[in-house]
Amino acid sequence: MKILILYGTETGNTEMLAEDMAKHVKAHDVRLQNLADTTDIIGYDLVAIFSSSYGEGEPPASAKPFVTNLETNKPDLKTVRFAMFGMGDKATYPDTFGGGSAYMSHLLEGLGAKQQGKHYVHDIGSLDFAEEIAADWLDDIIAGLA
Amino acid sequence: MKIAIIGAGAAGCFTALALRRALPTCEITMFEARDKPYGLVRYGVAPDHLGTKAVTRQFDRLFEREGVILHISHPIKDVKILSETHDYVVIATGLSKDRKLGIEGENLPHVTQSSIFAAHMNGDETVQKPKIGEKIAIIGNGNVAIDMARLLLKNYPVQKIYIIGRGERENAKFDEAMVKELQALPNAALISFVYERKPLEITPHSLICDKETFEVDTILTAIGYEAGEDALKPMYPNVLTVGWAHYGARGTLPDARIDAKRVVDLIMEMAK
Repeated sequence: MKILILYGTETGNTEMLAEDMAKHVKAHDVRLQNLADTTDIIGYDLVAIFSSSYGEGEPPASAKPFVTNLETNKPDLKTVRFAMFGMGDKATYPDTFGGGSAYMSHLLEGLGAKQQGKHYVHDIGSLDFAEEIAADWLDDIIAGLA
Repeated sequence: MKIAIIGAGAAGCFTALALRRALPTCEITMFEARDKPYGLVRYGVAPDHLGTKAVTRQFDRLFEREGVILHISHPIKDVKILSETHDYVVIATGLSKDRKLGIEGENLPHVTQSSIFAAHMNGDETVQKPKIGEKIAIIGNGNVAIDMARLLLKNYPVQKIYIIGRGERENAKFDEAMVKELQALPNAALISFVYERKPLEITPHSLICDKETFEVDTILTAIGYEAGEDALKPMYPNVLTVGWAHYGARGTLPDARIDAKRVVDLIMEMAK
């Protein structure tokens, strides 16, 4: 399966998670990329996006060019299957928890892309390990597509 | 290639992470003055902000699996020797001193600076235990002042907290989410925000400002950090600075991470 793993990060926590996930599914044809360097997401069996939120539930700064491209150029993404894994901080940002990744999901779906599995948001202030949760989450999504 | 990093706070650790990525085989040695790494992430970030502290899970990997050597309780007084024994030295010491108000009474025992208060709340037993009474003035209009007010409301039987700033309300540097978090506390009504008050003098029972005197038994300052007299200087061509030691006391973790990448790019360029 051809998988594109994308990440949006500011402190690097989500980049580390995305790297871990790229290793976790390395039996597949995997490409790992920063959202900052991404415009084209067509031509993959799955686009798995990992993203934090900043400010008032916005995508991280590094993801903004990607988001702006979707908002202004409105590419046709009917052939794209994506999955969204958010990272958020529930204690400090209870009202906008995971807002950045939720906004990107909404944007992608509006352009015809099909969301696979459930948009999950991991609370980075919790004691759970994001990489364990994300590994199960990604395995389930890949199994659903196979 | 051998690289020494002085300071194992956020700037130093982000530098080590970026170095390991750019130069997988280089030898990285970090020197930390305190007995535990992670600087302000450990001792400055409020203990109830675990989401912010979670960045240490990246840093842990440096020592667990990336082969970075960490010397704790190892202050560096002079960069000369390191600059001779290493290809590059990165000064990531942050800023060691709380800024002073520069007013009478500042050194009285009921006045505590933000770094001391935060370190105490984070379980640092090397700092003096702050004297906290019931009526408190917090001087400062940034997120650190909000952190202090929140921790006081959660942990001390306070009766009144004034958060006092010299500037106007519009210029306060509070993040909206931080203010919301504070106001969501059940005893948030004990807090008053006061603007445009310039502190002039501290007495044992009051804070005298230009337009008003506050009857308080405790004063906390949160007006930022500055370099101490012992700050290391990049006086040799192979010695670089990163983070607050480079650009001063502003910005948060994402800024330190961006600056770490700048320094690593610079090293890559110099090493060509």
